[in-house]
Amino acid sequence: MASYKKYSCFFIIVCLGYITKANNVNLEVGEVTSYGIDSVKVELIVSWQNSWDEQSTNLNHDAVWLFTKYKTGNGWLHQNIDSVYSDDFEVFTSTANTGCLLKPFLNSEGNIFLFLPNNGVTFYFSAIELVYIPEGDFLLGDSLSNHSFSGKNHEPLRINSEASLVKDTQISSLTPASIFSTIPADYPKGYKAFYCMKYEISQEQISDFLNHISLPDQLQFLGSLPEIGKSALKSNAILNVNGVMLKELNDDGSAVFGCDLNKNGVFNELDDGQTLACNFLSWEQLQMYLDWSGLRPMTELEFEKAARGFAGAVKREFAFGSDKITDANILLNEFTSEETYTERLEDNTGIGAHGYLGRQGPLRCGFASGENTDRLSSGASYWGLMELSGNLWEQTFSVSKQNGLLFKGSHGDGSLSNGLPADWRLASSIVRGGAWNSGIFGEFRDLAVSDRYYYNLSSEVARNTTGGRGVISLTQLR
Amino acid sequence: MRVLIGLFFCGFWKLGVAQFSGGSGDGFASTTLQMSTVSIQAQTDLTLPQTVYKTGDNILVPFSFNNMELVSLEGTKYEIDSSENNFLIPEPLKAGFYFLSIHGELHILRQKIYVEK
Repeated sequence: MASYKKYSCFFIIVCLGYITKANNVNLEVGEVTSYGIDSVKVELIVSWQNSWDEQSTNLNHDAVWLFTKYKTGNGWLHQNIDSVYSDDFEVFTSTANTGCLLKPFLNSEGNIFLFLPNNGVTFYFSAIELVYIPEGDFLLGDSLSNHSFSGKNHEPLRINSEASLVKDTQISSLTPASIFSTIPADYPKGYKAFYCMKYEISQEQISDFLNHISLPDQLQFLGSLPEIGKSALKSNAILNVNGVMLKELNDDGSAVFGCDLNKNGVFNELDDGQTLACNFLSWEQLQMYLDWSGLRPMTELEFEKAARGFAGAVKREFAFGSDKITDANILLNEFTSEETYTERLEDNTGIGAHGYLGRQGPLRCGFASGENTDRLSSGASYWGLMELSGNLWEQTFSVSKQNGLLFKGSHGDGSLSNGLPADWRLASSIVRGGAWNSGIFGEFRDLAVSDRYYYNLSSEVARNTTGGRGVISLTQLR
Repeated sequence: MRVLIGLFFCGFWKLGVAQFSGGSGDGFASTTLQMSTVSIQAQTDLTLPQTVYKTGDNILVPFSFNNMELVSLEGTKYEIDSSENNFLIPEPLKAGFYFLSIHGELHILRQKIYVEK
C-alpha cells in the first residue's frame, strides 16, 4: 500500500460521462485518471449482497464476472481486460483476456482499477454474479428419473475424473439410447472446478446485450427487428411475461431495446420486469450471449454437479435436495426487483416456479432468496445456485447427441463477429431442470435434477420456457 | 481503521450463512463511461525509483499485472511473475540495458533500466 502512495502522483479527472444500471450487483464508475501517454485508469466500484466464502468446508464461494466493450463508429467491439488490480478483490483474468473474475478478500464491496486505452470511446462494463463449484467427485443420476444417467446396474454413477467414459461400460442410462456414444475426455464432465452464473439470464441482461452489439449482430440474434413497442424475442412474447421490446431506432438503424412489461410505453419502470428470467431464448441465442460474455454453456453433467453437489443422490430430487416442492404462485411485488413468493413450506419441502397454476411465465431471478433464507426456502442448489429446478429450462450441451459430444469446453471470445467457437454446434443440446409450467403428476417430474425427459427433443427453437445461464472453467482463469 | 472495518465484515462474511441467500434484483449490473465527456487535465507516468538493478533485486510496484516483462534492446523477452506487487529482476543473458515493461501497448510503464549480472 505504501508503494501505491509512492507512485500515486495522479491527477484525478472528474468523470461526468457515465450512467449506471444496477440491482443486486452494483457497478459504478469512480475516478478516471489519465495514465501514461495513451491509457486511462478507470476505477469501478463493485458490490453485491450476501456474499459468502466456505473456506473451512468445501471452498464454495461467490464471485463476479466482469467484462468490457467499447463503441466506435463501426459499432460495439470487445475490449480485452489484461491490466487490472484491486486491493479489495482477488482478481483473476481469463487466459484470453475476455474479462476478469472478482473474488472478495474480505467483503463483497470494493474497488477495482482497469487500464484501458484513452481514445475517446464509450466503454461499457457488465458484471454477473457467479458461484464457485469446486473440483471433486459427485454422483450422476438418481436411479429413477426419466432416462437418468447410471452405472451398469442402474445405480447412481460416481464421476471422479474428467477421463473419457465408455458408453455401456463406464456410463449408462435407464434408457441406453439416451447416450449417443463414448463421452470423450475433453467433454467437460463437472469433475473439475468451474464457476456458474448464480441466476438465469434476466430480461434486462438480454436487453442490455442487444443495446451493446452492432446492427448486424442484432439482426443475427433476432432474425429481424420488431416494430417499435413490440416484443423483441418473439411475437407476443409479452403474453408469457417477456417484456423485452424495441424502444426506438438509432440514426444508424440499430435498435434500442428496453423492458416495458406493463405496456404503458414508458420503458424500464420499476415494474417492467427487468429482473425476471429471460424466456424465449433459443439454444443459438443462448450461445451468442455467452460467446459475447466470454463464458460458455454448461454440459448436462455439469448441470447435475451444479445441482446435487457432493451430496448423495435422492430419488427424483429437485435442485434443493428434496423430492418435495411447493409451487410459487402467489407473489408479492410482482415484476419488480423485489418480487418474491408468499407460500408457506411444509417440512423438507423446497420452493420452485413450476406447474400449471399461477403466472404463465418466468419469475424474478432469485425470487425466493432473501437475507435469511435456507436451501429449501430459497430453492437453492447445493452450492447456492438459484432456480436450477423450475422457472426456465437450462439449455446444456447433451451427451445424447453427436454434436453435443463434440463440445470441448471452449469459451466465448467476447466477439460475435468471429462466429461461435467451433465446438459449439447446434443440434447438440438438452433442456434440464424444468420450467414455470413443468407439472408433477404421478412419478412424472421433468424438473428433477436427474430427469432427461426431453433427451431426444431435436428442436432448439426459442420457447416460452427456455432460458439458460453460463459457466467458466477454473482452468480458463489465471 | 480500514483493517478493523475489514475484520468486522470478515467476522460475518466467513460464517457462510449467506450461501443460500440472495438479494433483490437479478445478479446483473452494467454501466457505461463516455470518455468523450471526460476532460483530461494532466497525464503522468509510473516511474521506478532507480535505474540500475541486478538479478534478484526486489522491485516494488504499485499493482499486479498479468503482462509484466523485461525486454532487451534486441527484443528478447523475460517473463516476470507478477502475481504479487513484488517481483524479482530475472537473470538475463548478459548485463545491459533493458526495458521493464508493463502492458507496453498502453505505455503504463516502459522504462529503460540497466541490469547488472
